[in-house]
Amino acid sequence: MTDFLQLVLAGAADGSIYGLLALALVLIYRSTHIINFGQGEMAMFTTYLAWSMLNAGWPYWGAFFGAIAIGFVLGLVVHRILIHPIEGAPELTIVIVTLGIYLFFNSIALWIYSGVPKIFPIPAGVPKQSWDVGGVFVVPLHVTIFAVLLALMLVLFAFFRFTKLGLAMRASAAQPHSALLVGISVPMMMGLGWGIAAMAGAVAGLLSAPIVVLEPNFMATILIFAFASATLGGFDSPVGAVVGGLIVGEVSALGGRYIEFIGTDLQLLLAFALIVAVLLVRPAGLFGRPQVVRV
Amino acid sequence: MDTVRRIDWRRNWFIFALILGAILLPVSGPIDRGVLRLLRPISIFALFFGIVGVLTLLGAIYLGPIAERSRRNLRLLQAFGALLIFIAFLVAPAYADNIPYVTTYKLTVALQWVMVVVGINLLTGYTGQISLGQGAYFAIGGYLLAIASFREWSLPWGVSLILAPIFTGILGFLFGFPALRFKGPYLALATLALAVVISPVAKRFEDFTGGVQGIPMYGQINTWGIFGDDYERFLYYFSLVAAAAMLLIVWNIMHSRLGRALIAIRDNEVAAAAMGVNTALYKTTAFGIAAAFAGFAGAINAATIQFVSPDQYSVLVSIRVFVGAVIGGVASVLGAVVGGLFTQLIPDIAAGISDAAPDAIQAVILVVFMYAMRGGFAGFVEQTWRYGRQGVQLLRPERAAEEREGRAAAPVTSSQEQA
Repeated sequence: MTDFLQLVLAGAADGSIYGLLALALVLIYRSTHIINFGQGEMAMFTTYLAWSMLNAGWPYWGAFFGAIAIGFVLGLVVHRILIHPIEGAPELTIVIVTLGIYLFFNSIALWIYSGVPKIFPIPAGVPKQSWDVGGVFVVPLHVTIFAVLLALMLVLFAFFRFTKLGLAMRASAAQPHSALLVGISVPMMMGLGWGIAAMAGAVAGLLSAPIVVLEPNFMATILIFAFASATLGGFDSPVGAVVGGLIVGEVSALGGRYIEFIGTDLQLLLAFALIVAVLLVRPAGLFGRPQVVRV
Repeated sequence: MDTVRRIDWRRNWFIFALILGAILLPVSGPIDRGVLRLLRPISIFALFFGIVGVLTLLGAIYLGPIAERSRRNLRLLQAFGALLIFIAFLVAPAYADNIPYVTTYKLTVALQWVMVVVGINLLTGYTGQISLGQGAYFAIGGYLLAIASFREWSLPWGVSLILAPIFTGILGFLFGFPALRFKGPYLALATLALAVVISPVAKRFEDFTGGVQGIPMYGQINTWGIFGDDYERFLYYFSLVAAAAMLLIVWNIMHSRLGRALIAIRDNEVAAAAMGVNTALYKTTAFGIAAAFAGFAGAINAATIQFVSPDQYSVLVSIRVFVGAVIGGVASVLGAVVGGLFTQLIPDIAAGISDAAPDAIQAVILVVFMYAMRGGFAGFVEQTWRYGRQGVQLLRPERAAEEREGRAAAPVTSSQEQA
């Protein structure tokens, strides 16, 4: 039983990271109807920047928020110079440009930081020692990640629900043309969406780097899990992304342990199977709204 | 009137590119410092596009009238062009060492990319199904050859080479069934996941695949006595013939009932279905053919490298091939050739400049193409050709009229179509 609980906790921690990155994907999908294949690599790159700042002697939280701020600007800039000009282009073009983002950041990181794995510290103030709760070891870092996910959820919810800016962003996502008519700068709102998404991605990168090692490809597998989470939850639902992330985290943790065939290597296969299954059975995901297309 | 007759410099940018490249290339030779090293590949690129543009324009002016006279002429011209390219590849190994960045080995691998790219062209360019997972079939083909001929059983490698496309083709066909329900970016997502999954799977089934160690393939592969035991040259010509055969197959598919059905599906699936096209069957068939091509390429690639390991089949393979396909021109047979060469050579050229970030340069090229030339290289050639034809009609109306009369006199129904 303790073994099981242990796994559930670990799965929740992994799932929170998937949820964070899935949240980023969903925010971008909601604002611009694009699946950003470069999301993970952007997050990876900001994490490397944080590593540089730490090496330059910044305190942990300084580097943490510095990287998040840079991530925000990065999202804005990427949207402005890459995504905005090709708005309304065929699907293929958009997919290709986001693949370009993937390749670009991946190889820039490889160029600047080399492929040698780097050790990324856990957040300052979080104890390294696990807590022993009735025989189950609770890792403080895992709890922190979970808490950060919940906090971010609440902040985003409040932002979208109670602020004017959030309302404007929702309006431009739902009805771009009507939003333009009432004076909302839709491109600006879309850019903001990308910025906020890149921020969420940066948080995912910063918190997952201590668990896995920091190397240019470390986000690639997490991105696939995040895809699975977002697909499961529904690409247009932030709540779905988080719930989906937690489910994917649990499924891969428990599946990896209890299904002998899968082991730790094939958790990715599980994610892939999940993506295919969800797209087959319920393409809109658990929380998404099915899109009705008029022909 | 005069404004129309004057040459439109904005559409003639490649002439500037030609001049710029011609000036920059000799200048950039001795410069070998920092960012300035970028000058050389840029000038090569400019020169390349300039030459291609000017040649296309000349072709449009002097060969265009012939091509437009009848469909048969057009086909003959196209066949002649294809033959020229084929001959260039035939003699390439003799000169390979004199061309910078090129060796026979690299050309061999480039031809194998051409095979994968032509599959992507069929699937993505003509059928409209975005597949980022061709690297997975490529890997399966490679592993199949390695396992069947070297590790588990000792089948002759020629047999494995036939088995590989059959096996991957069936896999692709089967994957096509769930993929029928995936739309647009979701399909890209699922296929990308497929590409990512393949390498951990190869690591996991250690008993078969040798795990991280991979499978080295000792011993020469039987060349059936062709070229004696010049293994390298044999593989080059083998790949060349195979790639040419695949290009021919796709060309023929595109001009058959199946091809027209695929294009109909790409352009409007609902309308195609309403016209009685069995969309499900055709789409899965396209998946199967593309996968079979990738599997064959993977097998021959494994024979060339004489080694397979999970690391050489990372997701980047799929992405690079896809990028190559897009830059070559995704709905064109000519584009597949350029795309394959691009996939192999650009990373090398880029690595030659700055020992790192080759993919970054590729990414920049990719994005620039998406802004400026969405049709890729082949699209560029086609546009320039059409522009050249219009130019003739504007600049020399009397000549255009002459041509029109000539065409009207021709007995066969003429066609405006540019394939």
